[in-house]
Amino acid sequence: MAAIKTVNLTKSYNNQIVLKDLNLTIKKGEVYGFIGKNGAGKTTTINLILSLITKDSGDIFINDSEVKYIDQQYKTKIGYVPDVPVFPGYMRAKDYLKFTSEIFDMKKEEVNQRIEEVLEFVDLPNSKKKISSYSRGMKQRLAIAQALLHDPEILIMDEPTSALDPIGRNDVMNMIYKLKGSKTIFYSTHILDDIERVCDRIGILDDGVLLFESNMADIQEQFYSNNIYIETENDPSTVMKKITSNNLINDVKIDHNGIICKLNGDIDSNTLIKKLIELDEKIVEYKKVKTSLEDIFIKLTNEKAS
Amino acid sequence: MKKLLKYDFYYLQKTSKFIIFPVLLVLLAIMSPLTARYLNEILAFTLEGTGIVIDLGIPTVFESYSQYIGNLYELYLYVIIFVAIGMFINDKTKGLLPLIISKPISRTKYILSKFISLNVLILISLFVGYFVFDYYTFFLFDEIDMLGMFYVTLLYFVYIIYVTSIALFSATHTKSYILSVVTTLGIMLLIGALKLWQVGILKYIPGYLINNMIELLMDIADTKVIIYNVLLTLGISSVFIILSILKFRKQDI
Repeated sequence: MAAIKTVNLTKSYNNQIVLKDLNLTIKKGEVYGFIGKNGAGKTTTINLILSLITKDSGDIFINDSEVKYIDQQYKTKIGYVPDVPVFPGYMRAKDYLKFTSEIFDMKKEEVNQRIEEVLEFVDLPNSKKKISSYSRGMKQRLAIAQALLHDPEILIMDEPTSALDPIGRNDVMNMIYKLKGSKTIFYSTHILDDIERVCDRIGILDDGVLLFESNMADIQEQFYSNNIYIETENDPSTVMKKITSNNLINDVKIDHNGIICKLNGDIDSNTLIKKLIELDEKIVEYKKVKTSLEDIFIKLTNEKAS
Repeated sequence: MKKLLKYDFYYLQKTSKFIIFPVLLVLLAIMSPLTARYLNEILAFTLEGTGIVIDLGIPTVFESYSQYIGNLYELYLYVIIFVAIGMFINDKTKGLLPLIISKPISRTKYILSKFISLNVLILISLFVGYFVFDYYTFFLFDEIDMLGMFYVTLLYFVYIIYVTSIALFSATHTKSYILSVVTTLGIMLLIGALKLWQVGILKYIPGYLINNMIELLMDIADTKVIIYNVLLTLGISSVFIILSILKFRKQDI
């Protein structure tokens, strides 16, 4: 069953299309990373799912039920964390969470305990401080707390780490990691390191078009570049010369203290290391170069641009 | 709706509006009869040494009524306009709306809750002011038309519904506080200008409520005219409220 599904979802502002025929399927229980540059249409997609804005065409489904713009009940299944959460400054965290619990018709006798639980989960002290005095990071924690309060099936997070410092970012990522498996998480970001750590599947959005969608394992396989990093006791230029003059590999470049060779199929990594030893090279480091999501993202968006 | 009303009343309480509205009215309710009663003395004190003598005659209870109604229409009305627009537009301009509307909240109920909570607070404040005014007026003038003032308070509240409905309309149709204030005052001015044509239905536009208040206190009011006046005012208010709801329901947040 799809937790979130969009079919040919299209939205434009002032006759400019910002989202074009978007077809997304987020399976129940998975963490889906929604990647895109600023202005790619990520927030627009989330706003459409939450009926914060009206669509031009297309359909949205939550747990296989079609979302009607005026219907609000489907939102009981969703927790939402915005990129820049804004709360009434005159309230305390507990006041806001109580208000949230009332909106979601939570049982009164369970509310206090649940508030304590979520505040503990996000590591936010239940203090008497007004929200107006909270730091950016504390507001983000509160945003996660209010999104989790009613124990939603689906958590939609719109760039929750974009404005946080490295520690705050790490904390938020740890929270998402802890939630992994218990909820469907739709997570939009342009910070690719975060995605690699927590996501099961990703979709890359560019100029309102879904360029690519795959799971993390397939991505590594599909985009694995067969690049090997080799560092020997010799100068990298000498090693490079040896490899090319012996016609082992032609595609070689110097990288830091070593070289990166692109295996072309004529020679495998075992043969290459044997040949290097035969050539009297003392190997210091020999490893596969992992393709980062950033490389994939740049490759895909560049391909589209060209 | 109950949950939203609770939230809006909490807002009114925490932002001191729960205190400001009745306290301001109590001040006006005390100041109006006092000013009316001692206007001659105030003028004599102010003009002392200038040789100018102004005698307004013995003040009557009607001076107290007109002073109070005048204050309601000038000072208090503007406070209501500024506060109402702030309350209706703040969630939008301060970025609170996405988090609110992302929850299972009906947009119609959201907007109605704000409108109702503010007007309930104003109504309560008006009655606090009504009792204080009646007491002070009786204390200073030895007479008071309590029933007349009760109707005046209700008529003024009808006018407030009209004004806050325009404020709601402006707040939903514009993107800034200042623009909303200007739009509200502009609409009020435009509808008020219709008073120039005293024909047909225009004889019952909201601007005539003040005339009817005074006529009520002077015991020369025509009940039929007052009813038409109230009905038309509430009708216009309903149109503004419906237009606000229709706009907000389809508005991109």
